[in-house]
Formats: sequence, structure tokens, C-alpha cells
Amino acid sequence: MATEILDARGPDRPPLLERPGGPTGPGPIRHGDDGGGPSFAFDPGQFAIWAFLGTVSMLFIGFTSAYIVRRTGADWRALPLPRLLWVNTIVLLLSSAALEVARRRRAALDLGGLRVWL
Amino acid sequence: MAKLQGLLFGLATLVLVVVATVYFTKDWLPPLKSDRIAIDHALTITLVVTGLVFIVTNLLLAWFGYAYQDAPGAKAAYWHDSPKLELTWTLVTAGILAIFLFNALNLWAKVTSRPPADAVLIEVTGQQFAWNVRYPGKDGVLGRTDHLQASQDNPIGLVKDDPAAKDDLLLLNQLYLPQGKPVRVQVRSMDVIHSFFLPNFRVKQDAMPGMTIDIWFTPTEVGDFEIACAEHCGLGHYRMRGQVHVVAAADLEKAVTEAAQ
Amino acid sequence: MEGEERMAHTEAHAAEAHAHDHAPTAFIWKYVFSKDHKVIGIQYYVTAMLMALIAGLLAMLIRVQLAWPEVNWGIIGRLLPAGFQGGAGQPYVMNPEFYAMLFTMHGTIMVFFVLSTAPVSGFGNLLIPLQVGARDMAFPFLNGLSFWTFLCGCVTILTSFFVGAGAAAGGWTSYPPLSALRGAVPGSNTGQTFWIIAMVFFISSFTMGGLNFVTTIINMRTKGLSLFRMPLTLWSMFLVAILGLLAFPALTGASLMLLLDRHFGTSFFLPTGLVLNNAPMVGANGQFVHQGGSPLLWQHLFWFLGHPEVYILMLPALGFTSDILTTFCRKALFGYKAMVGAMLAISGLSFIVWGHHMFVSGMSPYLAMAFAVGTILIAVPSAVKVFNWLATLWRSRIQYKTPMLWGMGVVSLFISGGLSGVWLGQSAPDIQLHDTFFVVAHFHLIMAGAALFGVFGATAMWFPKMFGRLMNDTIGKWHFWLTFVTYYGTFFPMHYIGLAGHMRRIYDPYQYEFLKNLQPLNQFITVSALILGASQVLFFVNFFWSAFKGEKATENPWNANGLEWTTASPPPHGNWPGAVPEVHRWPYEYSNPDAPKDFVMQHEPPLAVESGH
Repeated sequence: MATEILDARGPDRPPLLERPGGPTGPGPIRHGDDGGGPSFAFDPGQFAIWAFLGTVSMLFIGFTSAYIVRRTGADWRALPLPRLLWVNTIVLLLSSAALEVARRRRAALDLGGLRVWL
Repeated sequence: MAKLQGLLFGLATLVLVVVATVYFTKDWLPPLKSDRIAIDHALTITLVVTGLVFIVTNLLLAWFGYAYQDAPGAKAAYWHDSPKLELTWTLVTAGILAIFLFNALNLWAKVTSRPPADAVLIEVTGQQFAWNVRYPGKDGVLGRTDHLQASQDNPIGLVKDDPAAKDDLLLLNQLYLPQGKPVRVQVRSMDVIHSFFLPNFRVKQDAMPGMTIDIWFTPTEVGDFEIACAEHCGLGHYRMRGQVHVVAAADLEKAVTEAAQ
Repeated sequence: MEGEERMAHTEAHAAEAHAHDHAPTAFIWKYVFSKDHKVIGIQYYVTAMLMALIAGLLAMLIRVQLAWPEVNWGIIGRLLPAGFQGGAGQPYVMNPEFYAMLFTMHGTIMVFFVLSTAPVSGFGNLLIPLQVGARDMAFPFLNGLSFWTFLCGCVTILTSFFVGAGAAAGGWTSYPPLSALRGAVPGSNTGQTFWIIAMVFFISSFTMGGLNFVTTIINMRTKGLSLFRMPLTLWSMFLVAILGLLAFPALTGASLMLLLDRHFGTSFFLPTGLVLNNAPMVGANGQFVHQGGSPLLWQHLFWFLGHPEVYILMLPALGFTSDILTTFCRKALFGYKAMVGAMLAISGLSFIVWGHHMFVSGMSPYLAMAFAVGTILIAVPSAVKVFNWLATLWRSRIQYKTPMLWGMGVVSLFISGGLSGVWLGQSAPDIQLHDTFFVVAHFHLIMAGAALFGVFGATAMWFPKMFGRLMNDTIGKWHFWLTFVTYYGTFFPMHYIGLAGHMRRIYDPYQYEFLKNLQPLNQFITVSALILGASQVLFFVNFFWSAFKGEKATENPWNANGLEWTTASPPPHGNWPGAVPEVHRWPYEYSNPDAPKDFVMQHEPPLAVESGH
């Protein structure tokens, strides 16, 4: 096949390859999901990104709550929102959806669909 | 050597318990001069309950530390779970603390309740590094302030043209309170956060710039006491000292007028 | 067919990975820019201890000033002209601004650069891979990066002593407007900006570390190591990482806003109407420069981090203590599930109690009530932990080695400090106690003390895994006793002076009549503190001497059960020379009457009769 061997178990399962920072060195290769032991295993990088998303979310929650508190101040002047803001928001949402569909098409090895959605 | 350690640990813990008990049975709060005796009661009850827990747990720690030392032939028990025991001590602790919480919330509601209508109105404005005290005068109304008008001669920015301000009485670092009558203090700040602390009255309120915060209490005894600042406010935080004079209620107006001269 | 292809593919990659995974040999890659969790752990640890030396010295200066404000500082005054006035026949007197900087920097350095670091980044990095049965952390490069970022933070905060008008001086809590207005106190010039930058470095480092911890613990546990078979040290590191990941962003955001208020004219925390030195802070247009901000906003954001932060400091010590107590009293931990549940409850509740630092701040009294509820509640799981430790010690068999003494010291401090929290958590009594030395007593006993004793105990216990040697037990015991006695001698009397009304952060308390009679007690505290400080020399001597000349340690000198004791002291690169061990039980199987020895390590094959953990 011209394409590399993709993990046919689905788009989000960890690859079978060892990660450089993970268990290496002599000894049997440890896969996270070979039975017994930890009952779940995630790709470390993905797990860390999700954890970091939690951190970043808290940062934005902090800013948002500061905004909410601050707008009760006497000097607050509400900004008029330009209509373009809503157009941009819709474009962002639609393109995010399209990118997600494209990613699923790729994982399902649907190269034609991938090209369309990109 | 090991036996010695066990003995030492037990002894040290015992000494801690004894010293703590001795000290805490003496006077530890500044003499109370206000109606907030409920706070002192809460503190005393807390002392008794936490003191008992302190004594019991430390005695256990001392005893176990000494009695269960490693020795030839000694064996440790193999017992590491008792759901009943866990439930018991969790519920007992939670129960005792629930009572504390209930009382604490009730007390807080009283302390932070609205001042009575006949409370004497006083404004205290903290600044780096003094307490500006203002009485509303005969009209009973505090004049407007505008911080844009603040200056060396007018530290709180009193709007001199405001009719209500004309009879306001201004004092520096001196607070006169009526004995037996409720007092309502509006706490403010010109610059940074200060904290209006009257140790003898169980009163403490942070002075927040941009806010006016009301507190109220009733002085119970005539005498002279101190005001302290209880929030780090800069170089002079340590000398932001004022004086409280509790006078007979009938003498308050005279005392304030004389002091304001 | 496809399966075989995949197998071959995998093995080829494995061989390739193996070929790349040489232990570094050059000094710079082995000991300086290392990716090995053990080296990084020691780097963090040693840096934190050096920062502790500095912050400890600051504390000594504070204590001498409080005991004898009228003292002539002599040579110290001459060496630090920026902090003292005098000379030319006049005695040297400390400046109030210097005092403000002392307590600010003592708190800042101790809380962040010492006690968030040594137990968490130091021992967490050292122990997590060893205790989970992994060859390193999930992201070794990120790990190394996190240390060097931390070091940047250390350099920044130390440099702040030497900038312009000195280091930050608004308290470690940096409340605006004091910290936001450059003219409000000298340290609020460049020093406060450096403080903010140092915080950003620190928080970045802690976040990187937190990601590593959480990923490693969730993802890389060896076969058989379920969550409820983890040592409590691992649980504490796991929870601390989560707390840090979720709580620090509040301070990040607040710090950014403070920076903007300070340098870019914004008004997040600065209200309308500020008058500094009797001059309204107006701009060219006659309007106030800052308008509409709220100092309370900073307090909410700061303490949203601040409260979980103090649990970040304390939880690892609680984890260490459970491991230490069980190892040295040869008895299973009582109530493992309850202990884990208690730590989970403490961690969860820690997010909803932050307002107890703000009872008298002027926030809504209803809000204060809500916070009082959580605060009193959090005492329940804390008490449960103490009871379980006592039950562990009951009918045990205590071996009084140095780590055990520290572990029992943690229990003692946790009792003392925890109980004083009940006083402070009730909102109305807190009116009298807020911002007095009662608070200082409380947090030094429970937070600083527990964390410090935890670090000392962990050091004595896991020294073999750091340096392959044992610390000297005799010096260790002397160090413990001197520290234990003087620690209480320093901080317990602070309850009394706090109840008597002695405020915090006061350069000269004896300006006040009602505090004059407390000077003898302050002097007693200072003498205790000076001896406490001096006693730490014993630790430093023991640490560095033993690292090079101490008795060589075997694999498992304490006959303990964790996976870290199944490999050499210190462990080789990759932690286990052969296969990583598998786990068959919890780590607290001590004195099982049906077992051949008084301990059954986690990796030993299942016994005929086991309690089913």
C-alpha cells in the first residue's frame, strides 16, 4: 500500500509504536493495554493535551469571571459589537466542523472525502 | 538508643500538652469593652473543644510512641480496616463541627446585621498612615466627599460647599464613642487597603478603597483604648495607631466638639 | 497477515528505539541538562533547599527585629546600607521598607520556591516513575525544561533584591492597590514587576511538571498497579498535580491583570478615587487615572489559587507520612480507602473555601457564610487522617530511625495546626484573629511545618534512591530533636500573642500600649527561631557529607514494600536493569502473620493467604 500502516483500531487509539519517553530499554515491550494492570491507557501526548486544556480553560474562566465582575464597575462602557463578529464566529465554527470531518475521513482511510472536506 | 527516642517523643508531646494547657488557662484576649461577648464565648468554647481533642490525640500519640516500640520478639498487630470505626469517628467529628458551624453562622449573622436606627454614625477613613474620623454633627448627616478635592488640608476630600458638610466634625487618630449606645462606623480608605482594628471591641474591618463598609457595635465601658491597622499598607503600617475614648453617652457631643477644635 | 506485518514493524521500531536510548555519558547531558527524572528531582531539591537557606535568613532578620526593635544591627547594618540607617557614630536601625521586603520575600520564596518545589517537583520527580514502575516520566524533555524554567524563576526573584528600590514589599499576597501603585511602597517599583515575572516562570514550570505527573501516574503504571494499590505518596502527587493544573491559572490571570494595572494604565484592581499622599491620582484631563476597578477581585483570584496552593504544600507530606509510618512501625496502614477518600475530599473542598482568607475584607456576609461552611467541613477529612495514623501506630512495632521521627512529627504538627484552623474558620471569631500572629502560628504549624518535616522525613527515607547511601542516623536524630523542639518553641507561642491582638507585618509592635507586654514572648520566639535556624546546619552537613561519604545503601535498607525498593540504590538508567516488576498487592502488607517475613513487597508473587488488596 502506498500509505503508511495506520492503526485500524480507530482514529483515537494510541499507536503501537513506542514513544521515545516511554518504556524503552531492554526488557519486554510494555503496551498499555495488554491485559491486567491499568485498566485503561491513553496516548500520553493526547492525555497531556487534554489535561492542559483543563488548565487553559481555568485561565479563561479566570479572565471571564474578572470580566463579569469588572463590568459592574461604574466606569464600564459597553462596546458596540460589530456585525462582522458574528460572521467571523460562524465561519470559525463551520471551518472547525469541516476540519473535524476531514480528520475522521482520514482515519477511515477515505482519501477522497479527506480532500473534499479540507 | 531507640528506647530513648520513644521515651523522648512521648515526653516532648506531654510537655507540649502541659505548657499549652497552662498558658491557655490564663487571660489571653484583650479585655472586652464591647457587646461582642458572643465572640469571646465562641473562642472559649472553641478552646475547650479543640483543647480536649489536642490533649487526647497528643496523649495517644505520646503513649503509642512510647509503648509500641520495637523490641526483640515484638509483633505488630495485623488489623488495617474497620468500617465501623471509620464511620464512627467521621460522624462524631462531623457532628461536633456541625454544631460549631451552626453557632458560628448564627453569630456571624448577628455581627453583620443591620445597625439599629438609633446608632451613632461615625465615618473612619484610613489613609497612609492615619485614621481620619468624621462625625456628622448636629444635622446627623455626613457631608459629601469628592476625592478629586482631596489635599493636604482636606485629606478626605470633604465637599466644603455641601450644607451637610458644614457641621461635620473632623478628628485625626482620635475616636470618641458613647458608652452603652450602639455605634455605626462607615469604614473607608483613600489609597490602599487598611484595616480598622479595635482589639478591645472585637472589631475589625478592612478599609477598602472604592468602598464604604458599615459595621456596628456597642461600647460597654468608659475608658481609653487603641486603634490599630491590621492590613499591611506600606512603610508606616506599624505606626498607624489611633486612640479610642469611650465617654458617657451624654458627654459624647461635647467631647467630640472640643477635640475637633 | 496484517498482524504479522504490524509485529515486524513494531519490533523494528523497538530495536530502533533501543538503539537510540543510550544513557548519556557527557557530564553536561548527564547532570546538567538531564532528562532523567532522578537527576531532575535532585536538581529541584537542591535548588529548593538553597532557596530555603535564603528565605530562612530573611526570617531570622524579621525575628530579631520583632524581639529587639531598638537593637543596633552593627555589622549587618553596614553590609546592607539599603536596608538600614545609621553609621557615623549612630546605631544601625532597620528601615521599615526593608522589613516589609523581608516578610514579603520570606513568604514568596518559602511558599513557591521551596515548599511547592522540594516535596512536589523534588520528590515527585524522583519517586513517581519508581513507584509506578516506569522507566522515566511520560515527557522527559518537558521535565528537564520545567526545571530550567523554574531556575529562571529563582534567578528572577533573587535578582529582584537588587533592582531599583528593592524587592517586592507588599506581602507575599501582593494585594493591590499597594502592589499596583508604584508610589505606595518602595518595593512596588521594579521589584513587584520582577515578582510577577518570577511567578509566571514558576507557574509555567509547575504546569509542565503537573502535566508530567498526571500523565505518568494515569498512563504508565506497571501491570497490576491499580489506583487503589498505589502508595499514598503517589496519590498525593497525583492530587497535587491536579490542584496545580486547575488552580494556578487564576494567579496567572490575576498577575497579568496586575501587570497591566501597573504599567499600562488599566483598572482591574484600582478603584476610582485613589488619593496618594494627599494628592488625587488624576491625569492631564483632571479625571482619575484609574477608575472602576476592584481590589476584592484580586483577592478572589489570588486566593482561588492561594488556598489549593497551601494544600499543594501539605498533601505530599501527608503522603510521605503514611509511607514512612507504615515502613517504620511495621504495620499496615489503617483505613487505606478512607485515607485516599480523605485526600480526595481535602483536595476537592480546597477549591471552595478560599473566601475564608477574606472574611473581613468587605465582601458580602452571605458569601462569607458559604465559605465558612466549606472551611469547617474540610476539618472532617483532616481529622480522619489523624485518627487513621493513630490507629496505624496502635499495637505497632516502632523502629525509631530518623524518618520515623519526622513522620511522627508531621502527625503532631498536623494536629496542632489543624485544630487552630477550627478557630479561624468560624467567621465571627476570625474577626479578632484575622491578620494577627494567630494566623501565622496556624499556617506555620500545619502547612510550613508539615511540609518541612515531610521533606526531612522523605529525605532520610529516600536518600538511598537519590545517592545510593544512607544519611547518618545519629546526626539525623539530633537534627530532628533540635528542630522539633525549637519549631514548637517558635510557632506555638504565636497563638498567644495573636489572641492578645498582635497584628501581622508590623515593623515595631511596641508602638502600641496593648502590645508592649508581649515583648518577652516575642524574644522567646526569636531565640527559639535562631536556634531552629542554626540547627539546620546539621542537616546540610549530614546531607552533603552523606551524599559522598555515607554508608552505602542496599536495594532495600528499610525492608519497605514499594516498587522503588526493588531496584538498586541508586537505580540505574532506565530504573530496572531487566524487566519492570509487576504488582500483586497494595504497598502496606506489613506483619501479616501468614507471611514468612514481616513485610511482603508489592511485586512478590501472590501468597497463599492474602487480605485481598
